[in-house]
Amino acid sequence: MTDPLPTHEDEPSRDFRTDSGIELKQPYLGPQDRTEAREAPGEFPFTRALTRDLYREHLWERDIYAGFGNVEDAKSRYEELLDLGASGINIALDLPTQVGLDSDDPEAAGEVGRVGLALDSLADLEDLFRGIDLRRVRTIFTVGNGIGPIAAALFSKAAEKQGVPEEDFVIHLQNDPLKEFTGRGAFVFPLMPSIRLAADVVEYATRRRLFHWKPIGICGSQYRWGGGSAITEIAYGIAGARLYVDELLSRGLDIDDFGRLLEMHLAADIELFEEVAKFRAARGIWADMMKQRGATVPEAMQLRVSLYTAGYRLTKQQPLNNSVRVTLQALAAVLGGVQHVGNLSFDEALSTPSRAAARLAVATHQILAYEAKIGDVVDPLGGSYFVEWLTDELDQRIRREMNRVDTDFGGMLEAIRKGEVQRVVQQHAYEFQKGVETGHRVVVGVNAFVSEDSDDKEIQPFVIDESSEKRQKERLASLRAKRNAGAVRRALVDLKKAAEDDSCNLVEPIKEAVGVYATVGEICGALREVFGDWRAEGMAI
Amino acid sequence: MPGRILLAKVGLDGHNRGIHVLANALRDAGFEVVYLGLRRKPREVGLCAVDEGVDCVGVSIHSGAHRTVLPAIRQELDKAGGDDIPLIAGGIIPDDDVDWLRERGTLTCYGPGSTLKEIVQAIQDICAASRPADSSGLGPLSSSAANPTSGRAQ
Repeated sequence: MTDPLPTHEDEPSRDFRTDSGIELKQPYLGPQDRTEAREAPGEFPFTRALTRDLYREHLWERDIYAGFGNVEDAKSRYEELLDLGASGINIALDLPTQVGLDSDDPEAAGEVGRVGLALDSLADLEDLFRGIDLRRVRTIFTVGNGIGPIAAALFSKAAEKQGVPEEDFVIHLQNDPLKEFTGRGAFVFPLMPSIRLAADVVEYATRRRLFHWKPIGICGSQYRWGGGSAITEIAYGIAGARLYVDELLSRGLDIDDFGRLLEMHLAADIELFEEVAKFRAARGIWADMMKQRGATVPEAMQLRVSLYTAGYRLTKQQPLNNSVRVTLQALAAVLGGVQHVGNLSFDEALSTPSRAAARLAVATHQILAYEAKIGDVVDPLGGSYFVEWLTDELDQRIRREMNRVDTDFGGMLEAIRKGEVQRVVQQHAYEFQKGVETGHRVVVGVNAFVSEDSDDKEIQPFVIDESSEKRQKERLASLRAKRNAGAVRRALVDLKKAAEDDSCNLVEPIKEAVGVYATVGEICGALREVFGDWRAEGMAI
Repeated sequence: MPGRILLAKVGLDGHNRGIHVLANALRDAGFEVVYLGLRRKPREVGLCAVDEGVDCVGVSIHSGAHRTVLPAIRQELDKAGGDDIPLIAGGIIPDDDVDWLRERGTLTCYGPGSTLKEIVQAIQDICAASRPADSSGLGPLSSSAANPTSGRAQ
């Protein structure tokens, strides 16, 4: 049985504006306002691409996000992924771990191991990696936002136990606590101590010359996923990045050194041309920003971008449509020249992805790279009258919003404290929802082209093993009984002393504590005694 | 004024896009919205709801902890003297849990795909029904009353 083909009267109207509101007059018959030719790929400000050869030399990184339960539950999934050829492990952490609470903390009740792995101490990681050669695992990624130095310390110590030095594997962290305050909500400490801790990991990697590490992924993505547009994503993302850069500069570090360690975490949304223009504009603005702060070498001025395809576009209805959406988003990302793409799975709106859906997400990359050969020419949309014009339009609007933050609020920190960033993002989210409900914003299968007869397969929501929390608490109790309590006490006292000294980098003292099996909650507890917790900020969150 | 509602996110989950969108829609519809923000505890919600004299409490949870958190909130509301204040929920709550939650005092759950129109209308109905001197005869909606008052599921 086929649905009748839609007629003109059935079709939704279109207003010819991009998602961020730019009006698309057309046709684009020539170079528009731009009189000079754009710089070549690989030339400052890297608008066209970071390097001349880009994907011809090295395809974009492709990863799969996974994790749940406790170590026993997650281990087999990671082993499976490594066997499938994944070169890295992307470790999802549960909420208690992300906010610095142990699995037996009263506030953690009901939350242990739900959205990711429960990681209480080094013992958990040792168990996770037992039998997995960390030299084979080239990269370990985890978000570790409010707990950046603790995540770094845990991985470093776990590798040390296997005899693998820091030089031999990559720790890849998101480690961006700033954006937690405006949308994601996994803050631990107040704003300034959070920035200090995040910068500590970057400083540690800089001074140790661990230039293969990726110790920070400054986010623009939450200023999109929480509501927002291509403009807010880049404007607030780069405004936030400036705070970290300035903090690192204030420690006397050479921007040509630490600049090489920075990357941004962005989003890949579905309006392909605007996304491509966004990535191009973002590279130009970032390069200017770093150059203004004294960077001289290309690696310190290049904006490396890591991203996931935008999950909020995926629908529960007609989930197979999501595979098309993810394909378009991934295509936008690679036409836009980014470095690392994580494809979501088509059943993501319903549950933790099934194996088949995850495999399709990986195959999407492979088809783009090897069948469609998207990566064979750098910046293939460069020179398009439309895309060059759109790049310049976005560049102007992004810079204008960044200036507004500076002029009206005195910078990103105050704009966050005063709730302005949150207000803008929430306003966008509200307009988006109203647009969906009025039908102005078309969502196929939801408010347009709805199918009465559902051919959606029966999707079973992922169910966590309820005994997981109990088991983790038992592990924790057993750890506390076995470890050297005196050594833990001493390490925590030393950590507090170090935290009280503003000029002290906390990665080493935290490594010490981690090494004697102090727990995540205990380490955060010690730091809270010095820094206070996020409530001390007094913000309406 | 159609009513006064308390909104909160309870537990560790920080996904607040939906609750803010709903708060905006409710304000546009004339409601007074008390938004408590993130990382709230059930006890805080119970005490505040009674202090603020709200007509309804809405809680958003995306972390999967709803079976722990929502019944706890119902209990705290009752303990604080708010046994006549209905509790509704939103976020990521599997269909299979909705009845189980209703038996423990969460009136309705609004998952992804629920419209603002639908939720605002439902809250208007709840607030109208829970006013004093209302003859709808709903009675107290405490966790001990196995009395589903609304047929509306997700």
